[in-house]
Amino acid sequence: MRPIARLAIVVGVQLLIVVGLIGFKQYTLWTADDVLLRVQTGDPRDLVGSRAAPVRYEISELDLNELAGDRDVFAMAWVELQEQPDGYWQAVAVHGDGGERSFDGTVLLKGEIRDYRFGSARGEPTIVVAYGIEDVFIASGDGVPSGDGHDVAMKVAVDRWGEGIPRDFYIDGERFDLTRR
Amino acid sequence: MCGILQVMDEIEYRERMTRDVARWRREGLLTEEQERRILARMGAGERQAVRALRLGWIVTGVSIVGALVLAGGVTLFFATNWQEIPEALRVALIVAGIVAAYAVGYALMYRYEMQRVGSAFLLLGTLLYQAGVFLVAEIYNMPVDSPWLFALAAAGAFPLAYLFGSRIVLLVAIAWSIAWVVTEVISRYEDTPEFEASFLIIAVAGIAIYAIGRLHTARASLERFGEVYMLAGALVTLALVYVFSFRGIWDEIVEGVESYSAPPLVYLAIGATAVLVNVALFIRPADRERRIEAGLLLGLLGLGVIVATWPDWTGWAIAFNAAYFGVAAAIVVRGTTSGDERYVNFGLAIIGLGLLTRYVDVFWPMLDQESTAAAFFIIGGVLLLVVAIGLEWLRREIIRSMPDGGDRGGDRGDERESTLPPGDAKGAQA
Repeated sequence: MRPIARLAIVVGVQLLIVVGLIGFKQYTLWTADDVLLRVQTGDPRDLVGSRAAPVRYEISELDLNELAGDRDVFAMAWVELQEQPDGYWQAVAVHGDGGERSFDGTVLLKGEIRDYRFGSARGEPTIVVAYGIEDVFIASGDGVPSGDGHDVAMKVAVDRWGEGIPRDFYIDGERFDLTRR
Repeated sequence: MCGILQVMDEIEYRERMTRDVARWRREGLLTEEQERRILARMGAGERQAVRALRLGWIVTGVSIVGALVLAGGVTLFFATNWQEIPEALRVALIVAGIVAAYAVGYALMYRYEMQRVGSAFLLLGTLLYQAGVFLVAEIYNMPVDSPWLFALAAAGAFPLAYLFGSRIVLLVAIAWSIAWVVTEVISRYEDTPEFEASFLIIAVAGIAIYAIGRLHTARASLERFGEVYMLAGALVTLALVYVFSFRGIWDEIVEGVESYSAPPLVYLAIGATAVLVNVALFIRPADRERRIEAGLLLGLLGLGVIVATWPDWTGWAIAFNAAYFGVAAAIVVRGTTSGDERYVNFGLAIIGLGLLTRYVDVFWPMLDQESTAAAFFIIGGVLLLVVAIGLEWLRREIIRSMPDGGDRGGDRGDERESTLPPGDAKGAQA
């Protein structure tokens, strides 16, 4: 085989992989469901800069006593989210398997259970869940308001496998670009 | 094209010969007069010509370092300015960078006959491709520690390694493959009771890579790749055996501080690797060295099965120490019997590291007092010097007793610097 043909194969394979990766992720984004998750923070400026703490969501801690679905979830959890009248999505059920749903019109977001907190009189623990969308921050503080009482949210694309891809921050309805750590 | 390749072969041969002759002169095998006559015989009698020929490996080294540094710089530039560049332009820059590196490499190699620098550009192209995979992931806010990204980075490098006969690109591809296994294990089993046991999968992957290397050596055209696989596989397995040789890990497992439960994937990996080792043995069953090697590999896999099934035994640290030093000794013996100095040096280095580790392991807890700290360093230093003298003496004795005087290692070591593939695939040198 001539050297130019060999080089063409190498470049072809590598570009196919890069373009394939782009195509796959683009398709995933096109077909994903966008959900708006409430972010728990005292001051939106706490989200600014690469040294900001990981983002905590309203669904980062889930009291199993208040949710439908499975009780014996271990290691992985598929959290069923439902849109509320105010536009935010909240957890309505937790499953140990990605194929199950308790309600119609919901989205399943996959997460890893990091901790179990017992102590509730009602018996079931509160689980601490990480969804892989926590390590993001706002690169520049320009226009980011300070102080408490602000409405902070994250728009997350959830693909058909339950993987969450963080898209943008929203503070009092205004969009801010995010950066992944 | 054939003419150019024949000229390149001749240059490669002369470069290698000038280096060998210099080494033989240093070792006292040749007199100065004999060295001069050999060089004159091969048309390199002029001092300047000899110097030019001996510069070949420096060009290779500098080119490779240059490619690595440039790839690092480009990646750093993108990483720091990533957010300011529009997404479409980011993708275009990645693709353009890959294509440009390959185009320059090809032109240098086949138009301007600068094989060494040209092949470094091919290496640069692959490194840019691998950086590109992660930068694309960054565009889509994917976690950059996703195992799939490591697998894709490896998958794109293998065709270049094989089609252009480049061993350094193959080493890069194997390194990414190992990184894939490591990230896969971590992402699957982190924070689970199976986490500690799952590291056996990485050790088994090392043995599998070694067996793949052994399979390569069955064909003359692939033998040069086999050595790379075997080196990488041996390093991975030894690194894991080394980690398991520490007592602290086992103490925590036995005392129940760390839970330990082997996932089914451990057994599956061990089974598949055992098949691979047997297939490699089946190719040349009459070879005594192969049978011993296969026995050693199967012994390590057997150890993996036992430790995965019955972890709560207090003697595992000793067993893994025995395995570590046993493998190191086997490498030295193999070097002695095959007359290959490289194996002897590698095996002795592993033994040295093991001895140093055990010394620190034993005496580290006594370091809280100043007097014992001083004694630690003094005794340690003296012991190291004594061990070094012993190892050097042993090494010389072993090399002296080799069938062909331990020459092979040096020759083959030089061969490694030239990465021209056999036949007409003489492209890449990196």
